[in-house]
Amino acid sequence: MLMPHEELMQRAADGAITAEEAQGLAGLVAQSDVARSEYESLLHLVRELDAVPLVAAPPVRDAVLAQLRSQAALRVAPVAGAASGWRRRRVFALAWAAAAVVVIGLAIERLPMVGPVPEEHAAGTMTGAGFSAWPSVARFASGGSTLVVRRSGDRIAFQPRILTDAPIEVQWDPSQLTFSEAEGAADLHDIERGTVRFPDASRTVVVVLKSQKPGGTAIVQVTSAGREMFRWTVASP
Amino acid sequence: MDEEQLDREAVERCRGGDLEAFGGLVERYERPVFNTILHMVGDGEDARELCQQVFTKAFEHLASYDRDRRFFSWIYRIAVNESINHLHARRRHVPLGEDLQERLPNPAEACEELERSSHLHEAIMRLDENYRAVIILHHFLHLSYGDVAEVLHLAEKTVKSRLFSARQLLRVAMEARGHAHAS
Repeated sequence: MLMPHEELMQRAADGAITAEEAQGLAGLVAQSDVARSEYESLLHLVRELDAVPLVAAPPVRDAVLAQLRSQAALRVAPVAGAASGWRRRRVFALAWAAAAVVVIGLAIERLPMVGPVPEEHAAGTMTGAGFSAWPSVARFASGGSTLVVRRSGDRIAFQPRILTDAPIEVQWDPSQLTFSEAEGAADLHDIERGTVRFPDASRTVVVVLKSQKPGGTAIVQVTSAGREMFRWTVASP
Repeated sequence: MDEEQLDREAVERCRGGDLEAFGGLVERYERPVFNTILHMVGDGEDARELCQQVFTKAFEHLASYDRDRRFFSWIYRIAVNESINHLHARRRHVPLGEDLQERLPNPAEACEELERSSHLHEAIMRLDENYRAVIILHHFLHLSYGDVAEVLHLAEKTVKSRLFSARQLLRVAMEARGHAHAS
């Protein structure tokens, strides 16, 4: 609970007092060194806070619109009106799955390209900053774990954050996708078979895959301790 | 035409299915929304994800947006709520003092010219999220007491009370770090 003089100082620091109140405050700080010091300290803090500049925001417009377009397309999946409950759910699930494959492909196709792949990515040495600048295509969350999928040209980056102490694996169809890069202490022994392992799931991990065949689709799975955590269907442009 | 009018027209166009109009709103608000989230959660990558999530959510809930309210107060409220939800989820899964400390923030990098800024931002990050929100909205986004109250759905006197308490806490924290104001 603030004392009346403290409340007055706070409002004065925000320029929210009347002329009469300002006179009263001036008298107070003139009479008391403690009050003057307190008021000056507050003014200093307020000036400092007010001077904190807004940082430039990363451009999210294109990613937001791409995500909304893909979601809007997913919503048109029809549900048979006359079907019974379980059947309706099954029809919807099948329609959703079919639509997802098609729409994800369309969504990826329509995603704004960010131009030629930057050299640092083409060279196979990925940096967190470079990766994070790619537009995200999708973000999934389940039980505190997340998977962020980003895309730049024909490269797709998968960044899982799995709440587990067990190693995690990212698996894909090697006939459709090729391994490009990884970040985060990866075991790369099985990349020819389409698997990267991360023994330490607590660290930030990223796998970048490259589309192999135009027009193809491939499933990428994130698993931990033999359990599938996330699944994403990649449609090559 | 003022910004509120521009916002209203853009929202109407969005409701009519014009996605590009929503793109305009994103461009207009991405900076303050991103900064709000950044200072709330203290992690640039999380802030970027959440910023995208806030706008997606806003679009999905445009039908429930009250046209009598100003758009900025609605979008900022979503940003604050999403940030708080994120912080609560992170708190459940990440023990403080371990990973969180490593990932914690560096919004201070953007204002290196300010002496004491690093300690100030650390002190802000240690505030309760309700206090942090009023500091961000009032001082960084320069909203009035009334506007902050509108964003957070609080009485104006509650905003003042939280703001004043938050500043008291910041002063104490700064003094404890040896940044007493030299009078």
